[in-house]
Amino acid sequence: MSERRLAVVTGANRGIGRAIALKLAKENNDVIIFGRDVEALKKVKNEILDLNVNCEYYSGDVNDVEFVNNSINKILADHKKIDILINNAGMGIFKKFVDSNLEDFKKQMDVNIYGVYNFTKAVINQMIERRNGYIINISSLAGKNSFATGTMYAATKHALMGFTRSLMLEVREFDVKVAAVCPGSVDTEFFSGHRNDNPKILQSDDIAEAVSVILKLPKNALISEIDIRPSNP
Amino acid sequence: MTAKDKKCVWITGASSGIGKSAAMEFARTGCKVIVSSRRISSLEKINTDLKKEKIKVEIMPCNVASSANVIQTVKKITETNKINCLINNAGVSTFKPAKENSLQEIKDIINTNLLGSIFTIKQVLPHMIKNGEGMIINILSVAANKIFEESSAYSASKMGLLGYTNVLREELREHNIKVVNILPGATETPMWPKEVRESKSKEMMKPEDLAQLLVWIFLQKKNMVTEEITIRPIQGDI
Repeated sequence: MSERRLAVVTGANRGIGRAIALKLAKENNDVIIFGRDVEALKKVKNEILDLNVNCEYYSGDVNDVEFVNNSINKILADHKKIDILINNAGMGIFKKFVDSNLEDFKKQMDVNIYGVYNFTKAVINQMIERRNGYIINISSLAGKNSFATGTMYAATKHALMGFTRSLMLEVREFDVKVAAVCPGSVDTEFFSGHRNDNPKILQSDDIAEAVSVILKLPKNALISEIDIRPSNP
Repeated sequence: MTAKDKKCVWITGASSGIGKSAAMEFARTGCKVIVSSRRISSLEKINTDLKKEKIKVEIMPCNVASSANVIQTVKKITETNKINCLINNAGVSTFKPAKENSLQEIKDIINTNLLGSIFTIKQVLPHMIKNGEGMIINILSVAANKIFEESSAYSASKMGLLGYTNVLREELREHNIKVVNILPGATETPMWPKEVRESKSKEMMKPEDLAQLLVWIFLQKKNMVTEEITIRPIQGDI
C-alpha cells in the first residue's frame, strides 16, 4: 500500500462502522474492515475500492484474541503500520435487570469491552514506537447516563469510558490520540433490526463526520470526548 | 467550507484568543460576524488583521458583566440582524490559591464567566425562540470537570455554566435551539500569564485549532447536536 494512512475499522459491515469506513476511504485513507458477515464485508470492500483506495477485510469475532492477534500481525507484516484504529463493533441487549441473564451480559462485555481491549492491545505498541496513532472508540451516551433496561449495556459502555479515559492519559505523551465518541440513538439496525430512515434521529454519516473531525485536527489538539445527540428527539 | 448565506454569529470576548480566532474563521466562511468585548481598540485590530483578506467583522463593544450593557447591545444587534449563533466566550481568571483571592477578584470572575454568559443567553433567547432556531456555544474549560489548583473561582464559574446550560439544552430542544459546550484544555491565549504562555507554549493548543472546530459545529446538519466536546493539548494538561 502507499503512503496513505492505514485505518482499521471493526464492526464495519453495516451501520456506523460502514459509514466510518467509507468516510475514511473518501478522505484518502486505506481501510481494513473487520466484521462477522462475510457477504456484507465484501460489499463494503467493493464500495471502498470504488473510491480508489486499498481495502481488505477480515472476518471473525473481536473477542477471539487469537483471531485478532493473527489478523493484526498479518496487517502489520504486510503494511508495516496501522495509523488509525476505530473500535466500533458493539452489541446491545436491552432488558430489565430481573429479566436479564449472565450470558447476555457476558456477550455484551465480550464485544464492547474485551473486543476493544484485544484490538487496542494488538495495535498500540507500534503506535507508541512511531509516536503517531489514533484510537477512536465508538462508545455511547449510555457510557455517561443510565436508563431502565440498561443495566447490562450501560455497564459495558461505562466500562469503555473508564478504559478510554485512562488509556488517553497513559499514551498522550507518545502522541497517540485516544478519543471516545458518544452518540445518542442512531438510525441503524442496532435497536430494532431495521432502519426506518427517520431524518430527525442521528444518521450513521453524522458519526462518521465526527470521527473525521477528530482525525483532522492539528497534532497538538486532542479531542478526548465528543457527545452527539439528535437535536430534537 | 460552504458559505452560510450570511448567517449571523455573535461572539463575546472576541478581542483576543479563542474569540478573536473564531471571529476571523467565521468571517472567512462568509458569515456575518459581530464581535464584542470591553475594549473597542482591540476589536478594531481584528479588522486590521482581516484587511488583506478583504473581509470584516462588525464591532459592538459590550461588557457582559453588566446586564444593562448586555440588554442594550442585544437590542441594537437584533434591530438589524437575526442572531443565528451566540458564542459565549468572554472569560477571565486569576491564577491564585483561594485564600489569596480577594472578594473583588472572585466577583469579577463569577460576574463575567457565569452571570455574564447567563445574561447574554437570557437576552438572546426570546429572539432565537421567535426565529424558531439558533445555536448557543459556550466556551467552558476542562476545569468544568477536572480539578486544577489555583482556579477555584474559575472552576466554580465554569461548572456553574455547565450545569445551567445542560438544563437549558433540554428546555430548548423543542424550540430547535442547540446548546453546545466546549471544554478546552490549555490554549495559548492572553488569559494565561505571559511567563506561562512563553514557557509552556509548545504544550498548549492554539486558538485557531478551536476556531476550526467551532465552525464545524455550526455547519452541522439540522438533525444533530454535538452537546459536549472535550479537547485538550496532546502533551498533557498544564
